[in-house]
Amino acid sequence: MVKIDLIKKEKVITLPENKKLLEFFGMIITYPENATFATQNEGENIVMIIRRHFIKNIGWILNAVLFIIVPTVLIFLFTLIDANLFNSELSNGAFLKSLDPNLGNAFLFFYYSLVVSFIVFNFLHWYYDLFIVTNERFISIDFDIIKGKVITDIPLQDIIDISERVEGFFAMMFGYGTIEFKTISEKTMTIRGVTQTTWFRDGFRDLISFVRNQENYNNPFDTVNKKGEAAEAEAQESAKKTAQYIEP
Amino acid sequence: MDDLEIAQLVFALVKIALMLFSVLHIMFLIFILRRIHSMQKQLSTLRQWSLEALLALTVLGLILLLIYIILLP
Repeated sequence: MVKIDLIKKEKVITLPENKKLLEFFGMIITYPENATFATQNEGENIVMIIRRHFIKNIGWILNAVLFIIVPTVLIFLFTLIDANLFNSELSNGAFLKSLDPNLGNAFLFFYYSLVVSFIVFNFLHWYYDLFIVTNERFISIDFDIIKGKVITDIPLQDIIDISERVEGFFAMMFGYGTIEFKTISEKTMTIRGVTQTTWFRDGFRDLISFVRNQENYNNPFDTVNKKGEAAEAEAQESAKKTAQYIEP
Repeated sequence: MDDLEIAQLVFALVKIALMLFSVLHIMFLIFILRRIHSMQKQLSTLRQWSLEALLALTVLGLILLLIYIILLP
């Protein structure tokens, strides 16, 4: 296994732009200190942790804001319409007067607890959908509160054909896209909403090449590289001999 | 049925529905809490204490709400 110190030393993965900001929002975390994960092997370390772009949360955040202000807006509209169109007859009616206001408060509290659940539910979907790249493999954690989780584990050496797609107005505005790659077993893996796609694709590809080269170099049964080395040594030897003949 | 009787009926129905949905919501939140807790093993950097605290507070609030609804006349 390639040591994490070697990867750091060789600067296989350069630090992304706005590293602090990306780490604050948890979108890209490079070389996290003392980070461990469930199926970690001995000598295995996390190189980077990737999440979808934070802007992907904007839809449910706007919905949550809407849900928070809806009761206030409704009460305001009711008061306005009642005062202007019905001369406060609705609010002074026997039906509304006979209802307990405490029940209204209880209902409001229950409503806001649902809003809190909605926020937590959506946040968790983003927060726990993780992609972990280690010095040995790529791990994808697809988390869903109701359905469960799907964890995919792919050795780095098995990854081929990495491609990047940045499509659409928002993707271009906020700089996120989709990374796709294949494995040698023809499985296609898609990482959606990754920020700094070019940086990720480049770093990921370099890491895979680095790990592959290092593993092959350290493999005593690898004949391809050894043959290459032997051929190189033979060529150098031949060049020396030729030089001896030429020089008097 | 006069307005007062309808209001009492609505009150009783809303009270029962609120109690029922509060219990369901509490159970759902406890389920989420357990799921979050199990995720701690996945990655050590996940700072989830704040989420757990928020959910625990909501559960506590809902239990108090349940007691409050039961105590309502």
